[in-house]
Amino acid sequence: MIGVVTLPLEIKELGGRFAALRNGTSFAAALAISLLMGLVI
Amino acid sequence: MKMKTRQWVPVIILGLISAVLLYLQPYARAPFGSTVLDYTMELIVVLPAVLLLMGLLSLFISNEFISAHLGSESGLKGMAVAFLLGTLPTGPVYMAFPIARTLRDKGARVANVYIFLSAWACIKIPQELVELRFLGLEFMAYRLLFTIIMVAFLSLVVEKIEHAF
Repeated sequence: MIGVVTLPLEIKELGGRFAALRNGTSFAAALAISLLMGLVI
Repeated sequence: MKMKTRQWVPVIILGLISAVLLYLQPYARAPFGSTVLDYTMELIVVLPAVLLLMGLLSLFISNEFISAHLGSESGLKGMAVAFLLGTLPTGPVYMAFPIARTLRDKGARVANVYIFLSAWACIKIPQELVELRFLGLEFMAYRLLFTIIMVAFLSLVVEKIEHAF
């Protein structure tokens, strides 16, 4: 979900704001999903 | 294309660092070589396929078709289509960015572009079989459920923020 190495390409193709939002929210989502997994399993 | 020479700067810097490190650590040469070769081969195989796919997409899929199925009026069905589109192909994510851009240029809504990229990154059908095998059905089912819920929710948040500017 998060790509640091591919970030320059993502910015070039989809714009800096979208890339920042996507990677930022993906990071939050990954944390949230891992916490939820910890709760149910 | 105006930054053409500047684009080479990171490559040259990394090349110099690699050369120094490889000179100092001879045991690293073999894994270095095979990794570089692996990724170069991947790029050579993948890049023409992406270009071909984008060409076909822009030629044969009309803007109306994309807006109808992935546009702002597509609703829940559009989100489902975006999820499916993202899970079908296997390939590195850098392959997905140009495709995502083509979809957006052809009228797909921001939320669906977000869903497409996220599904591409973390819901892959061949990959799910591996997950099932190593982590079990319960883990896989819950992870998929949470991932889909989070991605669908965040896609709308990101779309709201994108449109706010």
